[in-house]
Amino acid sequence: MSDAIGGESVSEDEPVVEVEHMSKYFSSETGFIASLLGSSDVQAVDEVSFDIRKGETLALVGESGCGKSTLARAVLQLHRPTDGTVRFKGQNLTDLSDREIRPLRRDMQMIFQDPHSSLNPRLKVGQIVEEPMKAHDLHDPEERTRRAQRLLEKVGLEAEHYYRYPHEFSGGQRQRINLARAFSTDPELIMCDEPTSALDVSVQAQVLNVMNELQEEFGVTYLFISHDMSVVRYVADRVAVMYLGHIVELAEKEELFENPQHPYTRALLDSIPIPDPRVTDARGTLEGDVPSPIDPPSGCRFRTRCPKLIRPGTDDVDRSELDEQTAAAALSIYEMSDVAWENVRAYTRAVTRRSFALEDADSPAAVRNVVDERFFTDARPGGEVDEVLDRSIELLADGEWDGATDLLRTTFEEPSICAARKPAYTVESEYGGGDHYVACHLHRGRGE
Amino acid sequence: MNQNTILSVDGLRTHFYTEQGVVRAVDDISFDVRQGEIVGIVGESGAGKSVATTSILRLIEEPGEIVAGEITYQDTTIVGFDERSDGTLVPKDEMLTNRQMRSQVRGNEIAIIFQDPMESLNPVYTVGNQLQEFIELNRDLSGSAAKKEGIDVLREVGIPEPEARFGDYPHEFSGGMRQRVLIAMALACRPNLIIADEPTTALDVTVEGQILNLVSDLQEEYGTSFIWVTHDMGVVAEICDRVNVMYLGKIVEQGPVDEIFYDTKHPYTKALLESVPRPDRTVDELNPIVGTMPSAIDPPRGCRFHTRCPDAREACREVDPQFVDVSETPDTEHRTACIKYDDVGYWDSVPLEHASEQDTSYIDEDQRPENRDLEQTEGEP
Ligand code: SF4
Ligand code: SF4
Repeated sequence: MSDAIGGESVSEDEPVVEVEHMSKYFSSETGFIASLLGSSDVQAVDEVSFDIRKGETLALVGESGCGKSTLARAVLQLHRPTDGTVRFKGQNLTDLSDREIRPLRRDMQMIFQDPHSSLNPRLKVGQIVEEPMKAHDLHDPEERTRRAQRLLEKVGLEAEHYYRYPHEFSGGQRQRINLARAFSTDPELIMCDEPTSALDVSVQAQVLNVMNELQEEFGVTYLFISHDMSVVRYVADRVAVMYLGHIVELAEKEELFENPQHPYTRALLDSIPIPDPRVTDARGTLEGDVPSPIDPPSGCRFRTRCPKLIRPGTDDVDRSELDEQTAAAALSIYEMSDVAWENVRAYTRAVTRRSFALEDADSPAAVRNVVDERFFTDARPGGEVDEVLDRSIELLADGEWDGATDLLRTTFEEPSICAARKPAYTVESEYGGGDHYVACHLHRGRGE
Repeated sequence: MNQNTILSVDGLRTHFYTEQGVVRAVDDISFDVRQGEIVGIVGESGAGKSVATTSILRLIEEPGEIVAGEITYQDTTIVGFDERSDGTLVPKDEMLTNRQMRSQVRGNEIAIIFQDPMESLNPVYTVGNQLQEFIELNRDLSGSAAKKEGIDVLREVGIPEPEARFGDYPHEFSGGMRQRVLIAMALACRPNLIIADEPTTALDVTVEGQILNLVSDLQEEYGTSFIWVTHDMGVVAEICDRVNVMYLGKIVEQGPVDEIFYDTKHPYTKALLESVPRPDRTVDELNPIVGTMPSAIDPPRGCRFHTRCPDAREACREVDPQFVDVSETPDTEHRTACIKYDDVGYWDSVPLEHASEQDTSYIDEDQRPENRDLEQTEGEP
C-alpha cells in the first residue's frame, strides 16, 4: 500500500520492542488446595529480557506450558506484566493506562491459531477486514473499502470476497482474511500465535508464504509463537526457546539450529521426527515431565530433567549460597568419574520417578544387587558418595521411597550450581554475527 | 499376498449417508499388514485415514456403513460380502458377528489407540480401576495379579510412580501421561496388532519422542504389528516400514518407506513432501499445493487430485487411475494410482492449466460440455 506508515516509525536495527526483566505471575486458585500449598503464584514468565528488531521475525518456541503465549500477550499488554518493563518504539508501555495504550494498538496487531472462532460469522469479510481501521478512525469509508479489497488481493483472495461470509471459506482462506485484517492499519508489529497450527501442511505452506510476502512488502515485524521447530526454521530470523517461564536460549536462526548450546534446545531438536527415512540418528529423548510453574525448580528450571546436570562440588559454588538443608546434606567432596556421575544422576532420577520395581528384594543386600545391576554396571563412585548410596538402598529396602528420594536429591541435585544459581551467559556465534544467549552453566567461565 | 500377512484389506469402501449426499470417505482401498511391521497411513484431513482404520475394527457408526470390500485378519473374515444373482451384496456367512468381534478380535487381537485419550477413558473411574478391569476381562488374571500386571505395564510405558498413580483419575494425568495409559491398556492384553490413530498429534514433541521410542522398543520385544495413522511425514519417516498415502478416500501410493521418500511416484506424495517445512535444514521457499481439498461428497471425476495436481492433463479428468506397479525390484511392491505410469493416453493429452490458486480458473477456458460437471466439484468460493 502506498500510504505512509502513520506515527513516528523506527529506523532499521533499532528495536521495536525492548523487554527488560519482565515477569508475569498469575495468582493460583484460592480455596482449599491453595491454602494447603500456601497459595503461591504461578510463575508463568519469570524475568525475561530481549529485543525485537524492526522488520524481523522473532520466534518464541517451546512446548505447552512454557509461557510463550503469556509472554507475547504480556509484551502487547493484553496481560499486564507483574514486573519489569516493555518499551514499544521507545515508549514504556508498562507506565501507560489501558486508555493510553488503546491508540497504540493500531501499531500492534495480532492473529491467532483458530481460524474458525476468530472471525465473527455474522459479519461479511469486508466488515471484518475494515473493523480495525474503523476502531482507530482511519480513512473515510470509501478508502477503507478500497484498502480492504486491495488487502484481500494481497493475501491471495479476491476483491469480490469482500461481500462474502466467513463460513464460505476454508481454514487456510480464513487465516488469509485474518492477515488482511491485521495488516489493515499498517501496523509496526504483528503477534502471530500459532497461526498455522490448525491447518494441513499443504495449506500451512500457502499461508506461511503469504506471510513472508507481506512482510517483505510492508516491512512489518512479526512476533511469531509456535511449538513447531520446523515452521520456526522456515519463518524466523531469530529464535527464543522457552522452558517453564524462562528464555533458555536466544540466537539467530541458523546459529540456533546448527549450533544449539542449551541442553533443552538440543533435546527439543533431537525429538523432532525428520521427514527423511535415511536419517537414522538415534532419537534423543527427555526423561520425565515439565514441573509445575507453582514452585518451579530453583536456579536452572530445566535441571530436574537435564541430561547434563552438573556434578555438585565444583569450585564455583560456595556453601554459603546453599540453603540450610542442602548445605547440611552436601558432601565435602564429590570425587567421581564422569561415568560414575552419570550413573548416580540416572539412579537419583529413577528413584524419584520410581521407574523400577523392587518386588522380591527386601533385604538391603538384595536391593543393592538390583540397583547395581541396573545403574552401576560399569562404574560406581567410591567414598562418601557410596555411603549415601548405601543409605538410600537401606531406605528402599524399608519401602521408604520418599525418604530415599529426598536423600538423593538433596545430596546430588540441590548442591549443584544448576540449582544454586540462575544461569545467563552470552557466547560467540558460529553462524552469523549476532549475540547468542544461553542460560546454562555449562558455559560458565566463557564470559557472563 | 505375502506369507507373513496378518491383515489384508481389499477393495474397502466405507460411505456415509448424510443429508448433503453420500460421503465416500473410503472408496476402494487395498493394503495389508505383515507380522512385526509398522504400516503407515498418511494424508491430510479429509483423506479418510481414520475411517479406514475404524472400519477394520468395525467401529463405523451411523450414518456410516461399510458397503464393499473384504477385510481378513489371519484366517477370520472381519468384513466380506457375497454377490447375489441380482447384483446386491450380502455379508458372508463366515463374517464375524458383532459379538465375536468384541470377544475374539477387539482388545486381545487388535487394539486401537485414539488421538484423544479422554474419549477412551471413563472420567469417573480411576485409571487403575479401568486398567485392572480390562486385564481381568481379557486375560486370565484376577484381583491382585491383575493389579500387579496393571502397575507393571504403567511402569513399562514410563508413568512415574506407577504405584501411586494407579489410584488417580484420568483428569489428574497430563495429556502425554493419558496417552501412555492408553498405550498401557492396549499392551496389557498383548495384542498382535495395534492401530494407532494419530496418537501423538496432540502431544508435545519431546513427549512424542518418548512415545515413539516406546513403540520401537515394544515392537522389538513383542513383535507387535502397528498401523500408524498420521499426517506427519516426519513420523512416517521415523517409524514406518511401509506406507500408504491417502488422498480423498483413495490410496494414491503405497510402498516401502524409503521408496516413498526417495523414489516418489505420485504427484500428491511429491507435493506433500515439498510442502513440509524441514527441521533439519533451512529451506528458502516452500512449495505449497494449490487450492484446497475438494469435498468427498462429489469428488472430482477421473483422478481425484486433478484439480490441484501440477502434472494434471486432460486425460486425468476422464480416466480413473488404477494401481500400477512401479517397483524397481520385483519384491518391493511399490504401487501408485496415477495415469502417468499407465498406458491410457496421458502423454498424448494436453496439460491442464492451474493458472492461479483458484482451482476453477482453467474451467472457463474450456467450454466442452462433457467437462461442465466439473464445476460442481469445486466447493470453494
Ligand atoms: S544449567 Fe545445569 S541443569 Fe541447566 S541446562 Fe545447564 S547443565 Fe543442565
Ligand atoms: S493422474 Fe493426472 S492428475 Fe492424477 S496424479 Fe497423475 S498426473 Fe496428477
